Amino acid sequence: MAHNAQHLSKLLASSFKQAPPNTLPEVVISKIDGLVNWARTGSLWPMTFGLACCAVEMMQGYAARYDMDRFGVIPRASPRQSDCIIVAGTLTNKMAPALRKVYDQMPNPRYVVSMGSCANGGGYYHYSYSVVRGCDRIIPVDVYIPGCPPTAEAFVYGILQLQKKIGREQNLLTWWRK
Amino acid sequence: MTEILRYCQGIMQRGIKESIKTLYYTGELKFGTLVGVDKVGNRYYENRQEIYGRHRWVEYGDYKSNDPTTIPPEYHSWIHHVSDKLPSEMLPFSPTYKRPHIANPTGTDGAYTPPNFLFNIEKSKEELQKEEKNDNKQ
Repeated sequence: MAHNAQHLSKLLASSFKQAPPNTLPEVVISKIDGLVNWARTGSLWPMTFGLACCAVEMMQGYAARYDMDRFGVIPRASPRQSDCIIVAGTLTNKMAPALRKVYDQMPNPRYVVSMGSCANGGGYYHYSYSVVRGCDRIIPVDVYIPGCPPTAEAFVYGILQLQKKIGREQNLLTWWRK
Repeated sequence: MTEILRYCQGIMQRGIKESIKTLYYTGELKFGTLVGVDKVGNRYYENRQEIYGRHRWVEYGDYKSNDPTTIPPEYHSWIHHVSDKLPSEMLPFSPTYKRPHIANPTGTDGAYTPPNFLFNIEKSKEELQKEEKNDNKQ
């Protein structure tokens, strides 16, 4: 391994690319990976964590016009049943422990979508004494949706980006290679 | 009944193989007049008979990774109903600062990373080392 030792940062930066399978068992396993990813993207149940006006746009995304149900996105009221959490709105210091608790209650694999500039980095309330400057200070975020608030279209696009990200995963292949 | 007619017309327009493909990837089989094709291969359609708001649509050139950000600015205004003018009808507008349109690079190596991102720091270090080596040779 010494000859192809890379700095961790380079591995992180090149992690967008899928590692190509080489041998026959690897090909089979990557196909199973594809099946798992397809199942996960097809039924992405979000835990709705609506905190502010972004939640209204999120509701519109679920409603008839944009209809997230056709992507298999059905909002769940319980973190135990959900695959991803959508943090929509300003995360205050008071709410932060609750968010962490809800995130910890979710089963693996779990994904986080940060929606709106307040959840991304504090946004308008960045300098407020009572606001967390971005929900990525509390939980690891997969997809950031910019906007104040983002339109329902942007929300749909963000979910599709998350689906693409899940589609690139190679969990079984990495397990096999280890 | 109208639905069946629509589907039949859609199949008539595309052919059977192509219509199965569109049905699989878009979940819908529409028909309409082909208004234009852009550089990436996205095809733009219009059908005034459809419900208002659904009468303009795009079929992506790259079926598998359909990304709305591949729509170039010429067609953007048309497909978002900002204007009714197609790029052929618009006045030519190409200022010096205009750069070619690119799709959203998120999830690719072209994605933006801030200067203090660890990868960029390491990269700049390597470049500095290379420059120093070159200086020593000279």
